[in-house]
Amino acid sequence: MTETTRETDMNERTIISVRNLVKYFPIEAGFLRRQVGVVKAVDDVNFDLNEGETLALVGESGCGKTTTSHCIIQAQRPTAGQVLFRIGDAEPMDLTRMEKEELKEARRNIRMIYQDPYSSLNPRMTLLQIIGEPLVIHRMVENQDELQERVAELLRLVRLDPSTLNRYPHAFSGGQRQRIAIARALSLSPKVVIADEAVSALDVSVQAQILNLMKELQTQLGLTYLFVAHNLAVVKYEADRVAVMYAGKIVEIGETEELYTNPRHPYTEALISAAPNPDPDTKYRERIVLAGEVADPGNLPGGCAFHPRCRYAEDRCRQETPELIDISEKEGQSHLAACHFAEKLELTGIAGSIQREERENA
Amino acid sequence: MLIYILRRLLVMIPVTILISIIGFIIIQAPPGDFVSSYIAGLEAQGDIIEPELIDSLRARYGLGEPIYVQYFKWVSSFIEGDLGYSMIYREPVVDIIAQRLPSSFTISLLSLILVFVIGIPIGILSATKQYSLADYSFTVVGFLGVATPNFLLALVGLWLLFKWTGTVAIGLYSPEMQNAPFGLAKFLDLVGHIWLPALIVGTAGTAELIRTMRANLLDELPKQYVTVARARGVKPTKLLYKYPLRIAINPVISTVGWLLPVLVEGEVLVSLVLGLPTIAPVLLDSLMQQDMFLATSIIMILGILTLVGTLLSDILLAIVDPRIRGAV
Amino acid sequence: MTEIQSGGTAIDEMAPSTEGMNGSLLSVRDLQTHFFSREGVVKAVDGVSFDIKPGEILGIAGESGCGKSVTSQSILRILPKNGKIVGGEILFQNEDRLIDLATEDADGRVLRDIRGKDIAMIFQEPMSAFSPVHTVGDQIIETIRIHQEVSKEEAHDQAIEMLRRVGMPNPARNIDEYTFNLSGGMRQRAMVALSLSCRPKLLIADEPTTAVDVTIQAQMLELLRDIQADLGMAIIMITHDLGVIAELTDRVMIMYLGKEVEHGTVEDVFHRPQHPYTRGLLASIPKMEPGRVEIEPIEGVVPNPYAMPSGCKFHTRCPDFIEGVCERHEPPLTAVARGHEVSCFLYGGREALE
Repeated sequence: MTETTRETDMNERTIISVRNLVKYFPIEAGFLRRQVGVVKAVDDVNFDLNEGETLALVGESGCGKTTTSHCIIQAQRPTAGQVLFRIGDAEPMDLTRMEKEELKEARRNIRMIYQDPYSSLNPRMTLLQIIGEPLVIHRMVENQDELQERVAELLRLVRLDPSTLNRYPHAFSGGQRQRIAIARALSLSPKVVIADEAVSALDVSVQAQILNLMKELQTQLGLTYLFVAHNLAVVKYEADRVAVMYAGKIVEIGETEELYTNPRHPYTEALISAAPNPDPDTKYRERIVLAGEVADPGNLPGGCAFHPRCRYAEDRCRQETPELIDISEKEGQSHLAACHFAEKLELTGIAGSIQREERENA
Repeated sequence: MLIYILRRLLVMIPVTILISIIGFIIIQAPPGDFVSSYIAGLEAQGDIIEPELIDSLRARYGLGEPIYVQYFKWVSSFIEGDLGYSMIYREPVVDIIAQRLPSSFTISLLSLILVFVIGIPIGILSATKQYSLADYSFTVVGFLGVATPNFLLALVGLWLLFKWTGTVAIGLYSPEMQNAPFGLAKFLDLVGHIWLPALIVGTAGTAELIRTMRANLLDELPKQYVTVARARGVKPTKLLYKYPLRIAINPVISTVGWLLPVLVEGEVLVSLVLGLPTIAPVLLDSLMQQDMFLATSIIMILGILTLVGTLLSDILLAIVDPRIRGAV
Repeated sequence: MTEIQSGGTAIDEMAPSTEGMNGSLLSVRDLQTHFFSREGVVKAVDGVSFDIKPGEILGIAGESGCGKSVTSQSILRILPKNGKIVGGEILFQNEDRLIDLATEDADGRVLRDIRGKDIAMIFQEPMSAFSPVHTVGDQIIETIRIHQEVSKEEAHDQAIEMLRRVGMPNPARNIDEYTFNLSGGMRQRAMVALSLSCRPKLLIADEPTTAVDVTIQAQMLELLRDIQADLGMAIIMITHDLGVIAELTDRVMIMYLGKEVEHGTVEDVFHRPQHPYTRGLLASIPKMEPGRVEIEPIEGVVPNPYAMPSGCKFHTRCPDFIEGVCERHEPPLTAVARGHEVSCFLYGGREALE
């Protein structure tokens, strides 16, 4: 994204820089289990995560958004590429080249929250144990009293009653459990939190509570979020910038408002159009319903992976893979899209799909 | 599918070799060899053994040579069908096994059938009527079945039968039929005797199968495809056997293979108590008296049976379950 | 819906009258479905009434635990073992017969004949809706042959035709496939084909788009709209996603903890929500609109189903809670406009208390 002179040079606002990230999984078959192909789960992904911002990775299942996040914290080791991480003014470190011991420091600063608040918390541990575990592992507390105090403080931070710290997770509802998961993630005072579909399993009224809580915590603690999600409306509310992924690649990345109102990739346009809106007036709008299904990352079509479903596809799209290039019109903004016709196509964003004005005028 | 079977067969080769090595080593492990225990036995009876015979025996089987030489000698003759000579019975091992294996096999097979015929319906009943009186009763009976040793059951069976009918259910044939040529009369006599050992040998298996069947079916019953089938108007009985039962029974099929050797094992004490001419007591004898060729041969045969059984049940499973067929 | 008062009219159980049906296909009256377990009784559905006319699309919406799915399971009588209908009527107009589904034997002839033929259902998880060891065609043909006296070949042809109708790419081949060989979108279509195989008069769709990606969801909604226009059946769409409700349905009923809190046309309910819960629900959904639109969550948590609040079930989280009223009495349904009813003391019902 930014021109780099040296390999480890980073933009001064950037906290994590993902460069040419690749994760392939072998496909084995036949009598001797020979490798017959690869699943290109993540295929040359580049982005910078800036300090204090929320960057969303959106896309449908199998697009590589979760694998990307796992490759960042090295829960899965990438096949190639760099993940540069910098704390303060220190020299950036490449997480992909670090051994387990060295990663400890980085992992203290990059924490994850998962989708399912029911299975991600050990049912046999009390809140004190669940939230306090990272503190004990990383030797951040001296004694039991200090641990209790820290955990109580964390519970208050996520708006849970600190007197509940000796209870077990089953006594809590889905939304409360997600608060517990957040408290655990925050126990080591991390710089970056990766939220992998963290609100997807929650009911809307509770989802709203967690979304707002995450925003408040961000301002309060200066957190940086990588927000992995599939719900476009949720992403629009939560993220400053959005990266849309399709078949292991970023197809479009830009500032949220800009990307939603002025999408430059046909896939982004289709996603926006497909998202159901709780407004009956939009019932009869013209929808873009994509034919077929998400490309199989084990058997990608040639050229642009999206071309078989794209209504604007031309011959060039079947042959050449488009590069992710900056097409922003506004000064100081970056808006990148990987489409041969990004600058020519007239695509419709959210403003076009809402006919509220017409109703109000009528 | 063919490739799958082929691959499985190939995998069986190293496993068979491994079994033969392990079996051989274990039996060789105690100090002394069968020739010395044979001589000791004869001398105890006052017999005098010619040193030539001892030497020829030792040379023939490579005793006294390094263990790997002994192993290879044994394996090569095993492959040729020469299983060696039994010191206890003073007969070729092949003959002993040939006499005993059929009755062992018949009892095992019959037990297996009884296990399924009794276990599966009770398992189904227990699952569909969960927490009913019947379910609780079968649970209790099942636990008793698992917990009671087979030899005790055999003794109790003998006693009860004697008390009620006055017959002594020892052996597979009545004394007068023992040497009769095989015909309808002998067959009927066999049927009259064989059910008791078959039932006893199968008790633990039956009890276990009831539990497995019940648990599997209870897992399947609340699944959505069952509800969907109900919502399509499928009749309750058909609903049960066509959908959840069909799937619940698959894991049971996959256990058939290794059930066989377990049953043979279970026969040992029962056969001793009931005086049955099966292979199990022979195995026990041969192990106790270091009758190397007999013991190793029987262990090898049981091992190969297990492998073949497992392969058969895997193939069977692939046939009944398209998910597995798709994956192989 | 307006014709029927909450609580339902007294109707002879043995011979339900057609009175009050007013051309409705299905009329649910004061339905109460409870679950019994060692921990106690959960009143999953506690007095719900609604009507649906032939060809109409009704949405039932609410968050988890509101009883929307239990309502649909009650209609088809496919409740789990510990669930029982303890009160109310489910009147179904089948040709010229009026049947009370609530009192029929759950696995008896009458219900079995209706299931899959007159009333069919689509479920959330297409993968688990089909038996994994039977082909797609096997199950569709089975359904056709349960309800129609046709030969295997005839049923096979009908099944292929239905698979084609729902947009399967290669029906003649797909019919012999197992669900694990189909992609997510194809499974979804196969499930629709399965439920439509006998061209039902009423289709109940229980969260059919919850587990799928947004582009597949869009395909699914388009398919349902298409097929509804084509076959003209009535649809009950059960979902927690108010976006899906707005996209597809004509009328909507909002539920909270087994109670109906508001119903009306989608326009009424979405543009002029009255009940504090409906308003809260709509305010907590992030919008796909330009500019910054704040969301406001509903405070608190859904109460434990074993310890339901007294009075109005929503009073523990309600911003407009009226002390001395809401926690003591259950609010009756009050009409705020033609066909738009709300059960909340803000709109009436307090006079009757004094």
